[in-house]
Amino acid sequence: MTGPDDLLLRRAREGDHDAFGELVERHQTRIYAVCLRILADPEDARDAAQEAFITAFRKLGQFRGEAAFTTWLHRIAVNACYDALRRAKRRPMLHAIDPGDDDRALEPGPPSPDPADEIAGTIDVARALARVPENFRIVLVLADIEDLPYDEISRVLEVPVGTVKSRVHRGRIALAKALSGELPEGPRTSEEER
Amino acid sequence: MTHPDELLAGFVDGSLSGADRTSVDAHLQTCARCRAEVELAGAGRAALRGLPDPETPDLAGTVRAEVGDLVAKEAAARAPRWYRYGGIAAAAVLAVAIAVSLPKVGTGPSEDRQAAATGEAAPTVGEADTLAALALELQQTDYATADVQALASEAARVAPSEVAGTGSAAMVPVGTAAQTARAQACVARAFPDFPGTPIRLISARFEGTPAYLAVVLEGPAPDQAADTTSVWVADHATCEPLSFTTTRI
Repeated sequence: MTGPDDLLLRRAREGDHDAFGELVERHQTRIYAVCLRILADPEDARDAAQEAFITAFRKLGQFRGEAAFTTWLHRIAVNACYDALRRAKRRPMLHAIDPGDDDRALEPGPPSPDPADEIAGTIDVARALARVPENFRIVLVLADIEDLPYDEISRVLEVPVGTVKSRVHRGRIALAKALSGELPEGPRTSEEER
Repeated sequence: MTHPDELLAGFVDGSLSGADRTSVDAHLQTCARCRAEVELAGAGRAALRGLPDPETPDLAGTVRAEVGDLVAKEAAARAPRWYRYGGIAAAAVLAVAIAVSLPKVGTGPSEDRQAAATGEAAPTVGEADTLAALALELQQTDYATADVQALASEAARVAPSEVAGTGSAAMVPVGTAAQTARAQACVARAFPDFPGTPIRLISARFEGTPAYLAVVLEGPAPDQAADTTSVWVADHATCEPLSFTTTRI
């Protein structure tokens, strides 16, 4: 898969915008999926994925090919998601229950699920994933949705492989608990927030 | 009991090697905690793998458009950035010039200090030293006022970086270091305290008189984009100003 990427990358670096557009077309499904599963909001995910590609374009000159292009792109996308999560925390409690409200309060969670989740009946999984703390959620997305090997996840996140393995394991357990209602309902925030 | 926590993820997704798998199998026989964890983790992984690929919006179209804008903006920003660097470089050179001239203070011949005081030897040191970075173009051209205006307009049309980078220096003979130094001192004396960043230095004639011409970029403030090009023309022999023209970019 790196063959065509390499060619397109070379053309993009030489200033061929169309080649970069082709790279975006090749990778947008994966990168958008990563952003959607981490951010659990289609609009935020689209913005983050877009921002990731534009950042990639800006940094094209810094990409020396010592990592696979997909690894590099995933790293940029995850960083864009971290930024989006930070911004979401600063936003007023958009998706959360006002604790002062009575039980007629609005249901928390993403404002609009992805249409594919509606068809597949996986809205619950997507929402449960959103309740897994972000550091675990990101590793889960890369391991079980993107199917990246642990050593590649370690390069994407720049954390030791042992940390990746332990987060994957803990994250899977947290997701299962969230699905069975054992994780508390709440806004899609991280453990660092409070 | 120690639990093989680092191996359990690989056990659940099947990426574990044979030997590790065997050892985890053996551990699970005796550890209810890890058995429960493996079961939960398996359920979590299965749920994730059941997630469909989402419907992807068309990012490529938007990204193509934004990247196009970005490239256009950067091209437009190139001029002011170069201009700013020119100013910083001039300031740095000025600092060096001061440092270099310090040992002379009090020890050198008094006319050095006198010259500096009257501004004859090194008026607007910063500009003069920016000039020093340019090659003195030796031209046979006899410029008329209209030609000088054309020179300013040409500089306003062409991106400053291109003017500075390629100039005409590659095509025409250039002066020696001494000739360049004399030219820059002469122009600086003719136009003391004039703001701007010189991008070309030319030795030619102006209406028949041997003259130095400096093409200069100016902005509303030193840290802002250049919005004006000027040409300063100084008499080769007397270093008196002969002509001055300015054009908006």
